[in-house]
Amino acid sequence: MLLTAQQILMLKKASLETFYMVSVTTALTVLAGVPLGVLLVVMRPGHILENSWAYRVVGLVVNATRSVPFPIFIVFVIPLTRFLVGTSIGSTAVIVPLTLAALVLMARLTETCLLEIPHGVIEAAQSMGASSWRIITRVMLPEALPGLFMAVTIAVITLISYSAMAGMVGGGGLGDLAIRYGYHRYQTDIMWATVILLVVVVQLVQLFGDALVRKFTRR
Amino acid sequence: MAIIEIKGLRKSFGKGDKALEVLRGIDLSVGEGEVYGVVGLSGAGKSTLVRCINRLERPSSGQVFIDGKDVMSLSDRQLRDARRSMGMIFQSFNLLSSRTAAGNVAFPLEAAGVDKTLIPARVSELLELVGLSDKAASYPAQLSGGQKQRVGIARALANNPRILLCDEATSALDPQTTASILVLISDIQKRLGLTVVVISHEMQVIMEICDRVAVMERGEVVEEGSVVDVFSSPKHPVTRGFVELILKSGSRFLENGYAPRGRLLRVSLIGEGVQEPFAGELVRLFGLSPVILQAHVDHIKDTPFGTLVIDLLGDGGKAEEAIRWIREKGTAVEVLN
Repeated sequence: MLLTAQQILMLKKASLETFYMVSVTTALTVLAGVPLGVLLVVMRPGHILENSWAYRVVGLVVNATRSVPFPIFIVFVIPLTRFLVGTSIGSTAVIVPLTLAALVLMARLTETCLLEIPHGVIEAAQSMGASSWRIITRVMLPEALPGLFMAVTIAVITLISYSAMAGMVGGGGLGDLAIRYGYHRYQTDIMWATVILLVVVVQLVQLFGDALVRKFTRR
Repeated sequence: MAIIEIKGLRKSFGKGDKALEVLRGIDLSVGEGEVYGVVGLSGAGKSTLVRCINRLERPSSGQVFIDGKDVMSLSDRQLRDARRSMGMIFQSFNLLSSRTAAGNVAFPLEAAGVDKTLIPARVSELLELVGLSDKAASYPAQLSGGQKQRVGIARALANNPRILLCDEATSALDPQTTASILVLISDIQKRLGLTVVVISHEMQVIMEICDRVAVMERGEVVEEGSVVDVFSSPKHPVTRGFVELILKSGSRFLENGYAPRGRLLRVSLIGEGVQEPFAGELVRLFGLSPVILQAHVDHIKDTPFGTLVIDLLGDGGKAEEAIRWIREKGTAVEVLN
């Protein structure tokens, strides 16, 4: 069961598309999701920037976004995608729904990590006259770093899985290839190749993430 | 003048019916250079009290003055400055696990905006002060409890505070380590002329380093005074409980079924009194035979403090005379039967 030269070319193109979507989305997700997660923690009652009203609103928006199944979400945000990218089809267009879906996941994962930090550590920083900004950047984020690497790993793997649905709007990628050729055209070898490729990639991402977690764990 | 002045301090947690009043009107003042202890059982409100001093906890009402300035009236920036003049150490140490010992000590200096080039020298000076120069590169996970608290102390002292707040600072440590940490705090206090507030549920800790003590129960100060006075003649049942716990004496003898043949006395000897031939005098002057059931000499900070439980055998009238003689000397004596 060897692949033809043409099939290999298709696999290569699809891999690059997946890589493009996932890497850009990951960068945007971390940039936006981590700060949002920080907000979900520091605005809590009794925390350093307590604001129960804003906390509830942000929490509501995050939950609402997370409740929509991803294929529906892609369609639902089409107007926003058109506004931001100019089109609603193609790999770049898919980055919009992918980022939105992954960033709320990242926010919740970040929130969980940050809540693990003993509150006493934050109070100690307060007792030393540290500002809220310093507490966030020099205490909370560094203390949660191993957990944050774990969270990013989970987000990347989720993104690889979500990106399989990019084919719905012509985004391409490995998942799309598997569905169009492996399923609709009964090319079982393509199906196998993409599945193996995805398993290997996810495995590598997990190994890399675990290594980072180990490197930064001081407990 | 008092450096810390607390007036009518109240603090409740929760609202409405579920509100729990943890502090019910606390008044106290701590003088400059004094080591002030607050002792009480868990839930008495001691921690909440100390956390109101640097406003980690917002009082519901009442005032806290530091150097005459009301802590509640400070803006955020002023509060941060005020907090830098008060170091704080904690039961659970609260070190940053992601930073080395040196990194932890550097944190308050960075927060205070100290010139980056000056920080390393100051950090090694502080680590040397607490005897941890060789552990500068160790992470908290690699340190013992006592070493962690030493880092905590170095960190608390980084910005040359005038006040050190100790919230159950030795409660997570074994007795030996506790003793060494108390010696360190006491030593640093003398050297730097610090004002120290010590919160503890252990009377032993208070006895070891404090000049004055407030005994708390259910959000109120039930007894207050110099440690020697409070210790030698405790008035409130809670205070008695704490003192008994250390002396393990007195009424226990009766509870355990000891049948005294004469008058059972508990005598507290303070300072020079410890060196007097007390029992000998009872024999020589009154012809009585004191049976020493328990003798115990300890120190309250630097003052020797002895407790003697004796069964005074002999003529009843002579015994009464002897008790009067002891009282006239100014020695505290309690007749237990």
